Amino acid sequence: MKARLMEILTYMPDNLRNILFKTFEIIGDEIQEIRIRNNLPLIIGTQKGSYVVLQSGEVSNKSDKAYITKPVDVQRIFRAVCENSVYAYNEDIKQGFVTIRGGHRVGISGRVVMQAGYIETFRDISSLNIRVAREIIGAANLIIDKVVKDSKVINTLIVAPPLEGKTTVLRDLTRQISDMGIKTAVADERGEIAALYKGIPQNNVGIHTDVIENAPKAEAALMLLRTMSPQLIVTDEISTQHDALSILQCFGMGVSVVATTHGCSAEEVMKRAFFKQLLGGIGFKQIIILKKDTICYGTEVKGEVVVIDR
Amino acid sequence: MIIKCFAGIAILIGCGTLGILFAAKSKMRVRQLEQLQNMMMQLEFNIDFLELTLSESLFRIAKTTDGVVKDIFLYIAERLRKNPGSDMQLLWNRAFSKYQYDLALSKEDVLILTDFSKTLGCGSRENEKNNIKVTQMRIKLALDEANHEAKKNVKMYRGLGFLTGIFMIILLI
Repeated sequence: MKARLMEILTYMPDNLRNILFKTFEIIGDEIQEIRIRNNLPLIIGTQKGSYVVLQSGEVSNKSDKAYITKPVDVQRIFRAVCENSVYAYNEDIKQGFVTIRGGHRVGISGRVVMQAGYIETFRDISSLNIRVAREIIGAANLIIDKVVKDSKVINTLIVAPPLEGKTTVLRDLTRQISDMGIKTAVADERGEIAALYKGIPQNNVGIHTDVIENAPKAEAALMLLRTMSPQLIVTDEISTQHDALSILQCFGMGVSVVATTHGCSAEEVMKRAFFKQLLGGIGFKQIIILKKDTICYGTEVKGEVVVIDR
Repeated sequence: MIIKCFAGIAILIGCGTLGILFAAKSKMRVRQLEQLQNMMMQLEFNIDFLELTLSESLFRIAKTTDGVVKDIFLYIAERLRKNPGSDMQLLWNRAFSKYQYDLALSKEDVLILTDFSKTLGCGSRENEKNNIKVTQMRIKLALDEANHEAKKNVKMYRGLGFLTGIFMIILLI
């Protein structure tokens, strides 16, 4: 984990690199995100809360002696995450994030330039949010037996509120299923599952896995169906009618589907009109709810997993 | 007498060689500017059609060229690959300082490239293409001037070298 975290430092200007190196030494394992804003304190987000980073690299709740990020720092980091080639990352920038080495995601905000009603690029970057890639091998241990029965993948919808580890579980589930020899295809719209960097998955998603990243789920899923002949399609965060329709098409073609969505309970999910058509029949056979303390940070998974058989 | 003859020949060869070396430097400037002009064309293609990052692009370009220009591009590309957080302008300045003794370029020529590095990689594809076009034009002007200088200087340096040698022999005799 530390080595992967240290990749982030290569994108930092010298002053910030020295400060964050010390911070990583102190609380590296807990870091979820690093927030860098123009003329504001450098902030580290952990599961316990947010802390400001001091000039010494230590973290604190008080903002005295905090390291204040200069606009030139933000600009330098932005250029660095684009490998000093902003033009080459313009499609990613339009989506609002860039995936860097190690699979970490850098979210971008600032002043957007619009052209013909579409985002053309960002002109003045105001802040960056580096979301630390978190790969927990074994995160899906508790549910793997419920998802794969007799070497067959059950159509499964994984439900949890934001930041509860849906993607972490889905990623490990993908790895475990793929390593069983099941041909798996990942429609990774936001690049969070495999985190491709120059075509190489930064996360372990298994040896029988093919990935299409950055494409809309619907297009990616159909493309994978046509070209990679998968037995299973994995996708993250079904949130629109369009996503639901693409999943529905997959069900009709004899492919298993494992997907996630935001929510706290099965009832909450079923209230959404477009989900009704996905549940039952040839659709999702089960919903797995990840409760608040289901995923812990570290290498083991504990807590309760609720499985609702339909 | 024999010693004088040998000394005279040595002086003539020495001065002549110096003249040839000076002439070669003039020609070398033209050659290096031509390499840079070619590099700009490749860079434009790599950015516009292949959408390669600068590091990838400079590695590719380095493979197609030779001499000190190749060394400079490899130096920049390697550092960009290892450390994407490098300050671009600083990196180019360092590269030109490191290889300054092997470069036949004038200060003005180097300035064209350090100006080019100021905004390189910061903008959209269109901005990069504009930056490259402006730099290409500046290199072309420098190349015209270097060609003109070379035509004038090559003959002059060669002639001057041998003439200086002959003049020194006459003085010594």
